[in-house]
Amino acid sequence: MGAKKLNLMIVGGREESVSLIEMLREDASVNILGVVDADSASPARKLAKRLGIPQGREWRQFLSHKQLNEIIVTAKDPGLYSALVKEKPASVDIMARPSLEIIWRLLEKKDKQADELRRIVSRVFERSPNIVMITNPKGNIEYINSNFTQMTGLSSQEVVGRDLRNLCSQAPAEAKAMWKTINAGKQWQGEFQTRKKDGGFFWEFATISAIKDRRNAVLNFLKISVDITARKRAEQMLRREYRTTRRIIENAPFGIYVVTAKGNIDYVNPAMLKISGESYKKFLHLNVFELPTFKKIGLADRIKTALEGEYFRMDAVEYTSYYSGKANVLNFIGIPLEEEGARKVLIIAEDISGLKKSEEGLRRANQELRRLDQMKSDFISTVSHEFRTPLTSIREAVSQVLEGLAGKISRQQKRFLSMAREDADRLWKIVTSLLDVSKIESGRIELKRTLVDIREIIKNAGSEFQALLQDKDQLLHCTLPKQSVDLFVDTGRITEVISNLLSNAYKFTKKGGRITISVKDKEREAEIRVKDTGVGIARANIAKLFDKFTQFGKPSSPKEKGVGLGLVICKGIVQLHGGRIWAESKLGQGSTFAFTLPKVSSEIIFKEYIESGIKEATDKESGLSLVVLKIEDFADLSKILPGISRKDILRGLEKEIREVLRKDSDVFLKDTGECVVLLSGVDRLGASIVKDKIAQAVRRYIDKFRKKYKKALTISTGLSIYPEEAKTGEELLLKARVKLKDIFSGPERRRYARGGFRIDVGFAQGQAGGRGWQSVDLSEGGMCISCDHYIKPGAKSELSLNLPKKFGRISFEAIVRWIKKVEETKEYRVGVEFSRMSAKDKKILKRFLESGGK
Amino acid sequence: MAKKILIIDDDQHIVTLLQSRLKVNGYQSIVALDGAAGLELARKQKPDLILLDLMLPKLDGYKICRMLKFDKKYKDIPVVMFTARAQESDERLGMEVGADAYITKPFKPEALLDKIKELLQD
Repeated sequence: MGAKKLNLMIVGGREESVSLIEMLREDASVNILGVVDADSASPARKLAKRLGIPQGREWRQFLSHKQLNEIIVTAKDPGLYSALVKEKPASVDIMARPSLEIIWRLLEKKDKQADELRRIVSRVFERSPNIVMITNPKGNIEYINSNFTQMTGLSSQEVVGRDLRNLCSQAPAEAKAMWKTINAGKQWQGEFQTRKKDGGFFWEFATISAIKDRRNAVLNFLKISVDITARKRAEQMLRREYRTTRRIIENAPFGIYVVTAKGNIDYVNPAMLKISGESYKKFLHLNVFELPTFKKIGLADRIKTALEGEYFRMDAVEYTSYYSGKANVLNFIGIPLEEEGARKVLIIAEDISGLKKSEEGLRRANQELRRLDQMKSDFISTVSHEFRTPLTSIREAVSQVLEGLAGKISRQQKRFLSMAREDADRLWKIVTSLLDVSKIESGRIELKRTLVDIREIIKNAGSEFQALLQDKDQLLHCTLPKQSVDLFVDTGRITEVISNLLSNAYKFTKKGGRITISVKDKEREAEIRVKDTGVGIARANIAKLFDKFTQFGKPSSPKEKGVGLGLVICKGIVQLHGGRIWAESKLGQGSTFAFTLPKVSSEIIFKEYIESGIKEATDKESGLSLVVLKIEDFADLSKILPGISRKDILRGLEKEIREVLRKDSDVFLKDTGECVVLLSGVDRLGASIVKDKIAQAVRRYIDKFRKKYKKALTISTGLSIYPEEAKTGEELLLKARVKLKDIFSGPERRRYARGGFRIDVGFAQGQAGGRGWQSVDLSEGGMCISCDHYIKPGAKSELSLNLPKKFGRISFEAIVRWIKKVEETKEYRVGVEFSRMSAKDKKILKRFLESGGK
Repeated sequence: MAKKILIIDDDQHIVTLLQSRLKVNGYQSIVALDGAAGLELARKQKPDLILLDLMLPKLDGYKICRMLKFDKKYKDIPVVMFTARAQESDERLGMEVGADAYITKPFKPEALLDKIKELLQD
């Protein structure tokens, strides 16, 4: 082997140098000329000092050494290395941070037993934190370090000589690749599952390098590895979890896909492919931000916001796949994701097309049922109508013959014809009842609610009944409260209910019986009871009383037989009014039929009424106007107009308004002095004409009491239009009320010119007044002004008005007659009367007013 | 002179019975069985009163009523509408086009005669 002696300088004072010194100092072929380090206390210099090896802080002192032929630099300073390279004699070799292999090669330079050397080398490895193993080229273990023993519990004696493959296992393919690599002298990295003495395993990550001689023949394999069991376990767990998660996602019943920040699809699960009908490849081709499919339904925008971290949900979206064209109804959920710093969105799509379909089916079935029900109602209604015309002819023909218009008839003929006419009448009643029932059932009955005293309805119904009662010698007794019981009901319909109950009582009560009708005025409702001393009803039958075509008991004569619809109609009418109806009875002890009528607040009826108007208008696609008329200070009406009841005023007004409209159901009065008029299918112009007509009628009516006024009476009107100004009933009412405008005021008719004038009111010098007084309404006798503060009625002021140029200025003394606050604008309306005005100014004012203010 | 009443109705039976009833009560009557003929007759003969059915062939009762009531020459002729349709909306519509009275079939002859008497008073 090489006879040349190695004369060495070691540069660097750290551990590597220490190992080097220890390794080489006993080697006769190696002569350490010097150890260099800036720090005299560095481990390498200390060791050298102890061993008597020259050492120092300056490498140049050793560079001049004649025998020097090798420099080993363990120091990490690159500047130092390059300086050495620069200054060293050409004959001197230099190595930086020698690898084990190099050390090996160094060692190889000497005739030395490998075993011995390895023993020395092993000392280096003993300090290593890694698991170290050295094998021969065949893979038989020659050396293990203490870490290996610690990990496996196997000592050197137990391991040396054994095949690496017995202890460290790996996948066959990987093993093949590994041997190929390391046999070629290249480095290999990979994992082993290494057996422990106790039968367990641990995972190691190993770097295997070949140690070769100068001729490149492999001497040994050096395996340095770290324990990766913990990492491996975590990895396995992760992998298992990943597999589970993936299995869930792949088998999920809803579509899942991931969209990247650029709108590309990152991942899609099979369910999504199934839903969309797209192939995997095509789906991955979609771009959310580019294709109309996503833009159209707004999904693209939502995904953009989700990319900024906002979760979203879209329900029942009609989604058409881009390539397949398949249409579905989907619910989308978007969840913002952050994957390795990249923002993405996870989309979950739930296919609810099936659900929609079954909903649709249900809806259709329902519709069909409703249609059939409607058909039934229509049928009854049509048949009944069709009965009427021939019935009219039959009855009239019979009547005329019976009355002898067609010639003389015998007694017997007369008797038979009477029977025919009676039955025609009965048939007529049945047809009418049937029509009523079909109307109630289909909700086609419209209540014409007005404010009425229920006592009056009962009195009228009772007196009409009186004649009939006399036939059977029965007595009708009415027990009514002394005070009026005012309710919002449909007079005609409630009369029908009472007549029906009275007629039932009459039918089932024997001669000489007694019928009592009473009204109880309760806090929230009125209860009306019709009591008889008749045959009574069995308990079991009471519940069925209000069912269709139910008949119990025998009326005293066949003439009185009905069809069993009367109570059904009663129930329908009472329920429409929001009341209840029931019967109390015992066989043989008479019956009582009772019903309630709730005291609905007029406001509720107002709204109900307006809502139904809106519904009708919407159905007909026509407009609807609302006129509101309000008597201000209605509560104090008796003071303003003594001797006339408020109800009379309301009734009078109602009558006047109805006359203007010539229609029934569109007027509605409230017990607080408010009146609502609904005009359907009328445009703004028409509505304001009608409003003015109403105003005129009201004024006419109010004027009747002119002489009786003690104080000013104000009536305001307002108008709003659906759907232009308001979309809901409430809004419509509110708007009309806000726009209320006075139409009449004061005990005398003072104004014939009004509205539109806004003239600043001036004050006489030195007088206290307010700024911003404006005349808003002007007449010969006085004016209405707006101002921003309260003025006491009775106050006198010297005022002036600047009329347009050609009229000039007028001055006068005025007395404040009334004041009222306008809630909406927070200003006051003040009515002033001109108490003193010069004749000249009076003339000017008159001329101005007659000109219409122009 | 007996007052002249025009009956416009397509139901021959009703028409016959009405004529008989009116004759007994001292009225003269003329008849049209469809809307168009009725309108023509109303214009030519200028009756004192018209009994008008709503559902008519060719021209319905509403239209006839409106055409007469919107014409200065005929607007003073009282019109009594009758029909089997007792729906509030019909009644309302009838009043809107200017009918003076509205009677539902089957009518009691007395009620109809009362109405006619009332409308022909002056």
